[in-house]
Amino acid sequence: MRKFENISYMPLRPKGSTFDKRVGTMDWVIFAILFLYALIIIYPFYNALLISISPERIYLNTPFLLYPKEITMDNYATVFSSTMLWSGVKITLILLFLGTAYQLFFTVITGYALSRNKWVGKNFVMNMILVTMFFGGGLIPYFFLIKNLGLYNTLWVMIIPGAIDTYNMLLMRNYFASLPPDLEESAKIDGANDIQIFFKVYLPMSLPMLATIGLFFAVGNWNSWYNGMLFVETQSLKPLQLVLREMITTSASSVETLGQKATYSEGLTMASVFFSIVPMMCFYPFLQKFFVKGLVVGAIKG
Amino acid sequence: MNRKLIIDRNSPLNDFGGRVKKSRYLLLMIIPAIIYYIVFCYVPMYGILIAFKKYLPNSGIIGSPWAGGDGLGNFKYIFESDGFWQVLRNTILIGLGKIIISFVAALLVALLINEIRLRFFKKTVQTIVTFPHFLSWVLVGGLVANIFSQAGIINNTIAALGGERIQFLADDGVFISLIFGSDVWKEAGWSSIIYLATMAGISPELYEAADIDGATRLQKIKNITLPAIKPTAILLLILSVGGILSAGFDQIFNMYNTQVYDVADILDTYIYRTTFRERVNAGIGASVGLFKSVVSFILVIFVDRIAKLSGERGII
Amino acid sequence: MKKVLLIILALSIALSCAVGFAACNRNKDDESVITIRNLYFNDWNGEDDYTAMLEEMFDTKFKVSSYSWADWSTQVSSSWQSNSLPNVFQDDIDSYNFANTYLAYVEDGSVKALPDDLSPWPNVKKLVESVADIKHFKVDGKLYGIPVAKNINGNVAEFTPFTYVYRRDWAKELKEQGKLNIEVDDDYTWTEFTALLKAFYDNKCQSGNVYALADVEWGFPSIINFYKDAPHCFTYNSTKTEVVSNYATDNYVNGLKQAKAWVENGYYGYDQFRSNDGDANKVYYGGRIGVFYENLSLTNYTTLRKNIQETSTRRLSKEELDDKTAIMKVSGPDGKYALEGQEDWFSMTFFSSKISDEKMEKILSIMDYLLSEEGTLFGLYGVEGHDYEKVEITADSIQGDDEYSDYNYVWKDGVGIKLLSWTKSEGTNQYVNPYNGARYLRYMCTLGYDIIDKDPLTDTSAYPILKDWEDFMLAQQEAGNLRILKEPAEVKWLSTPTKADRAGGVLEAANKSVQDYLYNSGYTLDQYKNEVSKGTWETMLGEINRALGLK
Repeated sequence: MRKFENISYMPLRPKGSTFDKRVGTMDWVIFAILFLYALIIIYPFYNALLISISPERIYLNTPFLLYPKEITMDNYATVFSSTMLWSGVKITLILLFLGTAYQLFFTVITGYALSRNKWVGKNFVMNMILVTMFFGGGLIPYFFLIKNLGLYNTLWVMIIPGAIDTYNMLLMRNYFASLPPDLEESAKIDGANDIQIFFKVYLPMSLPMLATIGLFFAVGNWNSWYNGMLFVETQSLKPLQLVLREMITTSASSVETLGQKATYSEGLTMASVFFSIVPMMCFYPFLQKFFVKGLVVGAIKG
Repeated sequence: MNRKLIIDRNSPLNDFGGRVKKSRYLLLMIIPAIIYYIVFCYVPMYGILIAFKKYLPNSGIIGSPWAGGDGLGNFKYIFESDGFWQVLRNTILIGLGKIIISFVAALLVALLINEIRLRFFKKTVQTIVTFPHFLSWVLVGGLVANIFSQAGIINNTIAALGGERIQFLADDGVFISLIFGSDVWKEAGWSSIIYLATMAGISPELYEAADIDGATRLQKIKNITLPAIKPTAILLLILSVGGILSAGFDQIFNMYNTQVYDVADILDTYIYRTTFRERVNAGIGASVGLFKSVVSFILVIFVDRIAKLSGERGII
Repeated sequence: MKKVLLIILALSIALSCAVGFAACNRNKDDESVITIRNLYFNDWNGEDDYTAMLEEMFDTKFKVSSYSWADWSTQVSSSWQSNSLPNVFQDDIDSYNFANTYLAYVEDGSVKALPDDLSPWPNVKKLVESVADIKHFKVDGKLYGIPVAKNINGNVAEFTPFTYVYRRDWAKELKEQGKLNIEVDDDYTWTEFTALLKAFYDNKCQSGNVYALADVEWGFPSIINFYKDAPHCFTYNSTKTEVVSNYATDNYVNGLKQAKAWVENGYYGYDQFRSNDGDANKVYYGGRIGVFYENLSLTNYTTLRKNIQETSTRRLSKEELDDKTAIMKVSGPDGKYALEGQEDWFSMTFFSSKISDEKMEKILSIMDYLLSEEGTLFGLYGVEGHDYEKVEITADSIQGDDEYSDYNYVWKDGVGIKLLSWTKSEGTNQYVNPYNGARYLRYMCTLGYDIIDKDPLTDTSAYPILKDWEDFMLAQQEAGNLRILKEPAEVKWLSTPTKADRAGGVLEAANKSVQDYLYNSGYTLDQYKNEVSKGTWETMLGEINRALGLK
């Protein structure tokens, strides 16, 4: 084996490239910068993990907690035994599956319809939708609406009002518009109607894009709390993020009540935070390409 | 030239029924959307009236008296109050600052990642830096508060090095940097994807030719990479100007506190705070909201024109 | 395109108006169910055997939910603004928005006035009358809510226990080493207090990570309490015979100068900013603060002790724990003890104007029952014969050492309570909460301070310490040796347009000015005085003085 005098001249020959691509000082600088950047991204997670597995006294008495001096799983035991958190998880999982499927269906058919040329009233509908991106009635009439539709304090209030996400719908529309139009024409010649064409021709072609949008919705549902805060009273109907929010903002604040307010230690809060991030952390590396794809289609071709 | 008197084959009214019939399946597909937008977006839109009312909940929106007698009382109030102008200034500063900073940051990240040749490292870095995009601000706010609080690790480090503790969450200037910083932390990796995708589309031959000419890395970036992504960059930059008045409710709301209202209160948090926390008449918040909607709408139309003039596809 | 946009706008307005009328909320109130949303409970949702008994007793159904801690203000406010208030709800009050909110509720008719004559409900009547300032809340002779008092028996002073908790173990240790020459007895004069801080600073704080004195994060240094005349923005100046800015008075400025001196010499080590709720508490748990200013309500004090225990490496004896969480009594430079005064109450229970007179009377009857002796026993202990029994006690057995031999609590002279069904948790040796709905529903009227010493859920190791401090302060008050900071009720609850809209804002601004003066060397005293007395202040004070007929 050859011994390298100076590592920065180590030749690196990627397959298929006939050019001499040397790893120069610049490469090391870039490597170092990006390495540091990645560390900055990772550190808060690491810190949260560290606090969550350290006993409170270690955390409070150690100004620089860089590695676990002593490991306790107490916080996680509390998290896993907390009915409040599990009921949050349950609700969030329902939102995740039911909500995502529901949103996906309506968003995709709308996106498809708007991507087709020449149908009566298309411009009208399009403008009608765009206006809503800027003008809304505000919370008060929305509250009336939710009450009158009978959605208040139900699970549905976190699902039904989210049927169509305008931004993702437009993404979908751009995607369908970018597919070759002759497919549609040849299907039409075969006598298929628009709905058949959509389901038989375009939908199968767009599965990767569907996955992308579906994932966006899934993340949105996993992170949702606002509607829950406003329209849900019952503790057992609150989604995970709302439960977490209550834990984060309640942690050891100086409020006068009579013994009924639970207080959460930093360790417990961080354990819950970590608990809610972990599923995403596990899936994300494998799903990343779908997310990226969606963003690229939406932004460049749109 | 009265065209209406002439029978025009291209008139939209011509053979309307036939055209409806022809597009009936697409219309069927769009009906849920129409119902959805009418029910959830247009029905509540009468709430805009609140902006012109002294809103009394028990009297309802219609029954409440007009603000200031002529309905403009709320607007007079906000335009005369110092608070509103300060909030507007904050919004523009934060909005603009974010656009510029995140633009530069995303571009930088993209350029750096693009320069890596080690595939594995490139993929790993990309996965790591895009991940925070998917966290909610609730969580990021919690993480930030933990790290930057008075007894947090950053301040402990500063104190150990003999420095003065910094009130990251309470000092005006520092807090604003924290807003920008956390935004970059969360979004820069994600935003860089678009540029990376554009860079991936650049023909390798261009670089190879440059290599033969003996161009340095910086020269290649300057002469090949940057010009190639310029159209995308400009388009994205123009488009983001339309959203300048939405400087990020979720982020500010989950991060700020009374100490930094001076600099960090933006239109959306101002509306929320006055209406729900300080219980100022809801008409005030609604009029600020309407102001924001109108200005944003005009901005978007304007920006769309510019984008179209510069030869790009518009958004509308 | 423009045409289309216009058509759409026209259409949408037509549509929204048309549907808007239809969408107006006209919910009918269900006569058989009482809906309640409270501020003071978390995980109880109104379903237990005791609630069922109450429901049977009053032939009604309760539908209970609580506001969430993080967002209660939004939740109260949005249900009010969308005209969908529950039958009974609570709203927090403070002098900066309450007059505003209360009047808004009344003005638009969202809340229902109490009956003029409360005598059918003697306990409720007593509760309302026990609150001194209540007359300021009458609008055209009517009262629109019931104050949620902490205590209706008057045996707690009119203040919240904002005070100093400190590390007596440090003081003892330094005393032993001869580094501190005062008697360590919790009761300190100003000189002794200063000596204590100096000793802490010299011997404990050299690492830079430990602080001699710190406040919980409210932004105004606690030691100014020993100087200032009023708790917050406004104070009455008797020589000028008008209301002036509290922050610009000589007394306040003197206190501020003292605070700055201590910031500069390092005693005040921990910054006062509200960086993150509970931040300073955590530092105290971590053993890095010598003297700590906190709102030591029983809950907070119990939590503090619990956390000190949990963050310590080993099980602390009661003595050790008491030493780490000793409560201090300090008299100021003028020899007087000082307390940040507050009312005996800070929330109100309101009734939606949608409910019928009959329903309101029923709710008042329920409240009256819960405040009665019978109802209180039910809420505290449960069902007689099942959860507790009354036992006869003599004066001897009360004074005897073996306090808990035959009974658990003294109910009143001659009557003791012996708990039957109650269980204790193994770890903490505290009684387990049996989730008795009556207990929570009673919070509609009082926060339970009136029965705190009889409550099995009260931490028996923490309560006597607070009680001792409270008695001490009451004695000082009687001796005329206590400075209670109270805003005159006329000013506090006065509602003028400028005060309602701006008072919260000037409080925040003043907070910032105080911070700037304390920590920013380039910020002069003149600058400070200007900021806390000119501009908005002048407009507001002018209006307040005019409204009070002082100018």
